[in-house]
Amino acid sequence: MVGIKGVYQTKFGELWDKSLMGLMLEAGEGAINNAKIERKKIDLILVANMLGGVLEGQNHLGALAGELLGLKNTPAFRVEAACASGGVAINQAAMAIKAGQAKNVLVIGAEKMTDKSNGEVALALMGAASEAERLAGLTFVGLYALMARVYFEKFKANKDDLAYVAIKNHKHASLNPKAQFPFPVLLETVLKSSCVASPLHLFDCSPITDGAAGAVISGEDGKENKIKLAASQIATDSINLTERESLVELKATKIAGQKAYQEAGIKPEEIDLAEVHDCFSIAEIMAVEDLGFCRKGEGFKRIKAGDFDLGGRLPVNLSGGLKACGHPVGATGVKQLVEIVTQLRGEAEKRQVKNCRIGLTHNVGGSGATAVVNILKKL
Amino acid sequence: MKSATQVWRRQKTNYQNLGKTGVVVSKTRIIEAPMGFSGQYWVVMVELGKNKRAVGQWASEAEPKIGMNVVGVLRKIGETEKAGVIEYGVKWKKQ
Repeated sequence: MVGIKGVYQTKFGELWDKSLMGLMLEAGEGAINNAKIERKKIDLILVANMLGGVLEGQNHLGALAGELLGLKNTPAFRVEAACASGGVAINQAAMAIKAGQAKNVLVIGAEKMTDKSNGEVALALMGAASEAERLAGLTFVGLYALMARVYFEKFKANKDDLAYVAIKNHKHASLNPKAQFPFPVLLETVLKSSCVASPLHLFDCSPITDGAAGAVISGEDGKENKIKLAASQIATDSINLTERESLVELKATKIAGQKAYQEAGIKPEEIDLAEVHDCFSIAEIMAVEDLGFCRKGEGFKRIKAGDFDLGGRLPVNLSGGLKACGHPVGATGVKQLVEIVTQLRGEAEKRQVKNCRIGLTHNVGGSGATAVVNILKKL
Repeated sequence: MKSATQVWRRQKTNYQNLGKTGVVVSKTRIIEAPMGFSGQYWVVMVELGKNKRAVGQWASEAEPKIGMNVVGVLRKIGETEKAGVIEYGVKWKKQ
């Protein structure tokens, strides 16, 4: 069995006093302490990170994490799959355990983004897109805006329908002290926010964030190992948005989700809560549809109706999601796991879902070229 | 930063949609441009035929419309940057 022994998340936000190294150290030590495991039992370290080389001039993060944590000589390397780096690192930890190559894997997701200008960060993030998209002057918000426009045409939605994603996720973030924006927002504020790439406005977009999260993934049985990683599946699609079969869904999400449900032996209706990749509001709408939580073309209606609120039939993004908890890209997939484990342990305090037993994380890289779905079960 | 060799190598791909015609299927106005671009500009996704699409900047002042028939035209793309290399590629305008 592959289980989650320990988890930790740093505060997310614009953390002027924290370096990439400081964030990695805090998340790594926090996860080890939470797992109540002897440090020497960690036999593999995986660091999920996308932009360390570009924005910080710091690569070789696996060995660096080992040095910082007093785990020199431990196998360690960086895992990169754009914004899906964290989810993929969890998958790779499970693979190493299942292959018999490791028993206790420390996964750290970390990103330091706020030292650079918005233009520099936008360009760095476009490293996850295609050359043609970069030469067109597109940004990631621009790529999702292109999808949003097609979605609007097909399902008779409009930009005001998107606002309820931000309202829900900010409401959830107001209950999460680790969130970058732990406060609710009014509909009027969201609707009046400035345009970034039409039709998407500021409150449709996840922010630039510093932060880290850690987890100890274990193949050992024991009383601390009560949360099982019941499924972990990755799927890919074209990096070029122009090469996709459909512009109103992420096929990689659908494939990874279907394979994960099959591996876990469950149906979407059995999921009690989920953390989905809401890098932009339209992304959460497509995610709840592609994961089978509602029918295609109904995501925006179901979000507005409160289906995915705390207290709704399937709470989504109780951490605040990428929108309001923040999106330090390499850390996001690990943070999603931290939130679900915290909920399944019953430790989520004001945002706790009662009697939850099965949770799902959904982490996307690029405009949908990589998708990871992890399913967790409380034993 | 763009190097002369990178831009030279992209000659093989930058002009492949020159003169081609298609239909606008989506559009976005970029307000916050990435480094290497400036100002605000429209980017369109163009359907060039069955299962073939392209993205590129809009070459006219007037707003592009979904369903508009368009043609690929030669234009300077992006900023010149420090190396001084001027890169050309295809933008789209109303046919």
